[in-house]
Amino acid sequence: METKPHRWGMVIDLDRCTGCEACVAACHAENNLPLSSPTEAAKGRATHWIRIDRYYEGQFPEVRVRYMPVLCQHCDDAPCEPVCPVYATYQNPEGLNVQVYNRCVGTRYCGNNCPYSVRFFNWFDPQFPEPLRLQHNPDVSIRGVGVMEKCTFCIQRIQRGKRDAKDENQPVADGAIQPACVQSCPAEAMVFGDLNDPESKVARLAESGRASRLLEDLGTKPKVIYLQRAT
Amino acid sequence: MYLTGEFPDAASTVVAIEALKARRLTADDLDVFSTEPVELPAGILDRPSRMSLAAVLGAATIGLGATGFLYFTQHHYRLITGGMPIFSFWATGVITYEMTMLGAIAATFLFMLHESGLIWPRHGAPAPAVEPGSIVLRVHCPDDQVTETGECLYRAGAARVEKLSAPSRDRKGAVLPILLGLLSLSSSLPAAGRKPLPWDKNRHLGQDLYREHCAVCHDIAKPHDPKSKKPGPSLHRLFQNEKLPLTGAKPSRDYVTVKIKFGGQIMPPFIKRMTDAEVNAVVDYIESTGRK
Amino acid sequence: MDALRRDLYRPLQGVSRRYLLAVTIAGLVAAWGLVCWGYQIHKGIGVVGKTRPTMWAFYILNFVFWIGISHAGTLISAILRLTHAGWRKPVTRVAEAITVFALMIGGLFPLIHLGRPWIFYYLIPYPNERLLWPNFRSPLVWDLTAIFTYLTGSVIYLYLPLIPDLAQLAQHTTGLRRRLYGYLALGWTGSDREWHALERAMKLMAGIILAVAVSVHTVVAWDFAMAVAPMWHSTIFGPYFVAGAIFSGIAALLLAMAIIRKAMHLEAYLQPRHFDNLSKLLLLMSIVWLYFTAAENLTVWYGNEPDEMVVFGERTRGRFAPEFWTMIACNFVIPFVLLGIRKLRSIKTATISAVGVLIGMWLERYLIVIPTLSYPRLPAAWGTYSPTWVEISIATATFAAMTLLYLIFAKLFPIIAIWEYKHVSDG
Repeated sequence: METKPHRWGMVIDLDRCTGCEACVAACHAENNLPLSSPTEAAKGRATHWIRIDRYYEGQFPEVRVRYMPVLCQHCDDAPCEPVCPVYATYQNPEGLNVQVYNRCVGTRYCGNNCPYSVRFFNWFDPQFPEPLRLQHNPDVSIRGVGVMEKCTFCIQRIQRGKRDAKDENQPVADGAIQPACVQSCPAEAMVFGDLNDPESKVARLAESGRASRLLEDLGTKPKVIYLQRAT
Repeated sequence: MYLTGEFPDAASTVVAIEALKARRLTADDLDVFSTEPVELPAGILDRPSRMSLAAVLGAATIGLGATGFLYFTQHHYRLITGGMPIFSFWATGVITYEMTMLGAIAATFLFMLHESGLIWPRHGAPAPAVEPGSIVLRVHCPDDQVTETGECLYRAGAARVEKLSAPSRDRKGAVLPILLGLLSLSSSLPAAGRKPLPWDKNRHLGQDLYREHCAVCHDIAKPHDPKSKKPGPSLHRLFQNEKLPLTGAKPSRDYVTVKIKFGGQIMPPFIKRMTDAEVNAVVDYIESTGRK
Repeated sequence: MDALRRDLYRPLQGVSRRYLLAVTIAGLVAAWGLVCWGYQIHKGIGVVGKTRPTMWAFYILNFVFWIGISHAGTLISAILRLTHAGWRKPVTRVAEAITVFALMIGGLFPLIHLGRPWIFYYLIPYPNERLLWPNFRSPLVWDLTAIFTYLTGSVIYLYLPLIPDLAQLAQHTTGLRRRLYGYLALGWTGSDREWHALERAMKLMAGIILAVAVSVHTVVAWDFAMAVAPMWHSTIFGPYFVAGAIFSGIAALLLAMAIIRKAMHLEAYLQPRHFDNLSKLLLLMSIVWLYFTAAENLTVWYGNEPDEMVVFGERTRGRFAPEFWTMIACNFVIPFVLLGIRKLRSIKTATISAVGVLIGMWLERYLIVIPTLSYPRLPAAWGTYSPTWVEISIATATFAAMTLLYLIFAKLFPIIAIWEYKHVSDG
C-alpha cells in the first residue's frame, strides 16, 4: 500500500493536441455543465471548464495555429483560495483545489484572482432543455444560481477509483483514474495520475525536457504540465 | 440643599467658585451648567478623567481578544488556502488593527457616558434650567449654610439666586426606555427647579415664600445689624416703623409690592417668579410678623 | 431665542412644498432601486451586465465610490479638529452626516453584488452548524470588519456632539418630537462634568476615527491590490485610495454645503471663507491625486510588463481612453483652473469643481475595476462589459437614497452644531 498521499496532476502534450475539442464535449457531458443561450454566450458567459485556446503564429501563408487546452491548474499556491471569504475553495490533502458549492455566496473574488481565467460563475439557474436532463451524471451535483464552479479533475471519478481500489485491497493503479477529458482525447495528448508516485506516467513525463507550466513566473505552482518542443 | 446662582460670564463664575471653595466646599459640591462649554482656568474646577486609559485598555483587550479568536478559529478547522500558513499574523493583521480601534471607540463612548453621569452613576440631583448665554452654578451646601452661600453667590455677581427642589420625577437615564421601548415619560428633560415646595396647609403661604425667596438676603427676626452679612436691610417691623430702612420714605404696601416685583440696585425682581397673589402673601407675612 | 437658534430651528419646523417634492422624487427613485434589487434576486444575478472575465463591475465600483465619499466627515471633523482649525465649526455636522449615510449606502453594495445574498451571513463569525468560521485571510472579511468599525465610530462621532443640541431642541418642541429628542439627549443637563466628558471623548474619537478611516479605505483598496490581476497588484493602491477618498469626500462636502446654504437660507453661517478654505483643500487634494495617478501610470509604462501594458494601453489610448481623459480633466484640469486662479474662485466655481470631481472620481473607480478585469493575463479570456438597466437603476437609486436620508436628517436635526458654533475657544 502506498504510504504517501496522492498528489493528482495532469500532463498535456501540446505537440499532440489537434484542437478537436473532444475534451470540451466530454467535460460538458460528465460534469453536467450548464448550457448558455446565444445571447448569454455572446456576453461571455458560456461555461467551459476546459477550453482550447488558439494562438496564431506567423503571417499567411506560413501560419501556424497552436492549441492549448486550459483547465483549472489546481495550483499549490492558488491565488483563488485565500481570497474566498467563506472557505468555499481550498486545497484538499490530495492537492486538489476543491470548490464547495454549498458554501459559495457568490462574491466572485476567486474568479478575478485566477490568472488563468478558468473559473466560471452561474449567473442564472441552469437550464437544461429536454432531453438533456436524461443525460445528467448522477455523481455530479448541479450548481444553482450564484455559485462558482470550475474543473475538479473529475473528483467523482477519483473518489470512485479510490473506493474501488480499497474494496479490492489494491493500491490505485496508474491510469486507472481518468477524468473525462483525458479519457476522451483521441490523440492521447492528456495523461492523468499521481505525481507522488515516481513510477507513474505523469511523474515521468513531468520530468521531461519539454515540460513547462503555464504562467509559471506568477508562482502559483500549477499541477498541469504542458509538453511542447521548445521552438 | 441645592442653590443655584446665575452668572453672566465665566469670570464671575470663577469668583463665586473660589469664594465657595474658601468656605470649604469642594469640586464635588459644585456644578456649572451652561448651553455651551465654559472655559474655566485650570485648577478651578478640575474633573480628573481616566478616559484615555480606558480607551487604551479597551483597545488592547479587544485587539488581543480578536487575535486570539482568529488563532482559535483558524486552527479549529484547518483549511489550507493558497499555500499560506494556517495562522499568519500578517494575513489577519488588518482584523487585529480594526478590532483594536473598535475597542478604543467602544471604551471611549461607554466611558464618556459614565464620566458625564448621563447613564451611570445617577446623581439624582436637580438640574437647573439654563438660558443660552448665561452660566448657572449649582451648589450643594449644608442646610444651615444656605443664606451664607446665597450671599456668597450674590457678592460674586450672581444675577439671581434660587433654591432648587428635588424634581418630582427623578432624572432617569434614557438607555432603559430606549431598550425597552417604554411608553412611560422618561424625564430626560432638564428638570426645572421652580416647583413650589409642598406646604403644610396650616402654615402661612407667605411665610414659606418668604423663606424661599427673601430670607437669603433679609433678616426679619431682629432689627438691622450693621455686622450682618446679609446684603439686604432687615425687614423687622417694616410696616410698623416710621421710615423705610434705605429710602427713609413712609412705608406702604404699594411701595413694598413694587419693590418685590421690580427689585432694586442689588435686589432682583421677582415679578416673573411670583404671582400677584404670592407677592401679596409675602407682604402679608412681613406685616404680620411686625405685629407680633 | 437668539438669531443662530432661530435660523437653525426654522428648517426643522414645517414642511415646504419644495421639500416634499424632493423627498417624493428621492423616495420614488430609491424605491425603484429596491424593486430592481428584488428583481435581481428573483431572476438571478445574471440580469446585470457582469460576465466572465469582468466579474466585478458596477456594484463594486459604486461601493468603492461611496466608501470614498464617506471620508468627508473624517477629514473635516477629525483632521481639522486635531489641528484646531476653527473655521470648520459650521461644517462638521454636514460632513459627519455625509460620512454615516455614505457608509450605510456603500456597505449595502457588497450585499447587492453577491450571487447568493440570502446567505450573506456566512461572512459573519459566529458558532454555526457548518462548523466553519469565515476565512479571515480574505480581504473581503477585512472589508467587513473595517467598515463595521468605521460605521460604529462614525455614528458615535455624529451622535456625541448632537446630544447637547438635542437637549436644547427638546425644550423648544412639543409632542412626539419632544419625546424623541428627550430620549436621544440621554438626560443631558449641560453640567461641566458632561461637557468635559464630551469634549474629551470628541478629542479621543477624532484621533481614533482618523486612524480607522485611513485603514478602511486602505483595506478597500487591498480588495484590488491583493489580487494578482494586471495593474491591480500595485503597492500604491492603499495610499492612492485614501487620497482619492479624501478628495471625493471634500467634493461631496462642498456640494452638500452649497445646496444646504441655498435651500436652508444659511448664507450667514456657511460663508464664502468656508468655501474658500475647502476649495483650497480640494485643490491640494487634486494635486495629490494627480501625483499618485502619475506615479502609478509612469511605473507601469516604464516597467513595460506585457500583461500590464495591455491594460495600460486600453486605458490611455484604447477602449477606455475617453473615460480616462475625461477623468483627468474633471479631477485635475477643472479644479486647477477654477480654483487655482484666485479671481475665479467663488462659491459657484467651487460647486462646479466639486461636481466635476465627483464625476471624475466615479470614472476613476470605473477605470480601476473594469479595464483590468476586461484584459486578464490569458488573451483568450479577454472580454467586454456594459452595464444593464438593473445596475444603472440601482446605482442611481443609491444617489437618491443618499439624498433622501440627508433630507430626513436635515429635517430632524439642526444641520450646524449650535453649541460648537458658539463655543469660541479656537478660531
